[in-house]
Amino acid sequence: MQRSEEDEFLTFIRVRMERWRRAAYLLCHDWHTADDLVGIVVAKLYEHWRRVSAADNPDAYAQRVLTRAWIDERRRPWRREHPADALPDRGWTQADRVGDRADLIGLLSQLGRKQRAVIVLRFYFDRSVEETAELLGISVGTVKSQSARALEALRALTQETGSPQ
Amino acid sequence: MNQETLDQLIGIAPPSTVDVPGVIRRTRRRRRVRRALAGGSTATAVVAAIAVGAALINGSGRPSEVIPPPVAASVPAPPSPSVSPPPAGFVLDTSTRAGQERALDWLRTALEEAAVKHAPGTKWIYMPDVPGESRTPDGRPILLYTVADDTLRGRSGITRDGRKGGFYLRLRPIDCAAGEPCQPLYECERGVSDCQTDTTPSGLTIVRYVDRPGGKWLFYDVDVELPGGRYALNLSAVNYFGGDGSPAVAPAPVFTRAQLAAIATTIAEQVTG
Repeated sequence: MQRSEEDEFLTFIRVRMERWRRAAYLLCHDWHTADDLVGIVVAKLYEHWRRVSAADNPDAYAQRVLTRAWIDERRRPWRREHPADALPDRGWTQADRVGDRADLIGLLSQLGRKQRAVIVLRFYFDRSVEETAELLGISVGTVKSQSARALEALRALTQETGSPQ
Repeated sequence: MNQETLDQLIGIAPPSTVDVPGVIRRTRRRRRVRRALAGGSTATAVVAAIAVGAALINGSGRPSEVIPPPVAASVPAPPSPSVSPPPAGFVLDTSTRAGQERALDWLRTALEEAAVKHAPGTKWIYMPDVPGESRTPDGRPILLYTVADDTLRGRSGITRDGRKGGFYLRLRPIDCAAGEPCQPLYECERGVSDCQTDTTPSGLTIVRYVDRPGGKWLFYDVDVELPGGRYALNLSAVNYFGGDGSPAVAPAPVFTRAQLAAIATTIAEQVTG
């Protein structure tokens, strides 16, 4: 990679780093793991920078890498994996406590990995339903249903805290 | 609902530990290794032998962690078993290929000797991990080094007293302050009864814990800090046989918690830095 390309890459990374970290935190609820996920994004972007920088939407590429890294992360730090049917998705429940980070994380932790990825892409990265479906390789209908449930629960949480909608 | 609202709920983030220069260095290093492998030099076969099982162990098959092996015929045979116990005072140095090979040889022998000492009668057998992989011979655990995260990994099936189960090993960096991607030494969560933190006879921190992820699965884990504080050894005995998601084959793992801790302690106390 030439020096000018590397400078461009570093600028791209620097401007977006904190947003990626916070999005990763929404996915995994742990800052160490969040930084590991962002490290994966940085590595993949660096490896494919020429192609990424020439693409129409480098941000979408980075967001896809981040969410895919989270979804594909099978070796969790302290336990082996288990089949999906051993941990049925319990879905959202209404928040009934004062909202704060713990409540947000509690809500998100009830979701499967792909569901969390939908929330982050739709509401944190402000992707459309169609863009989210394409980035995750799932149907538009799935994105819509996941988004609606999440929105309902998060609205209840923010109303408890008095945060702006 | 938007980023601003979610940011307010997330709150203040701690300082970043993402070491961008370090990530770039490692990415460049992986590129150099891939180019060397593509060149087909003899030296690259050694690297491939070190990394060839990463695809076997890493079930995710993420390309970023796997160095593709050369044609099978050029992969050298695994090192022959040591006939004597590993020397005390092993210095762990994975900065070179030779150091990585020495670490693998030492760890394999240390593990086998410690199992003989603390769990006599243990046999190491082939345990499949991912569909379609090539079978490896019984008798020795598979051990490999992955460059991407400076980690020695091992896995094997084990049998003892008519029971069968799985075994995993990771020797990884824990010096997270250096900015490298790492997982610090395990910490017991408040209120968890099946987790104890102690010290070994030589003063190393050792954490023993039990994981019950649901169904009939039962995992015994030990995490012990190595001398020098830069690495930790994690041993995990599980009551399933095969890759992730395989059903439980016994009520409990083959190694008891005490045996696992003793094996980990014996190995850890051989390291001098």
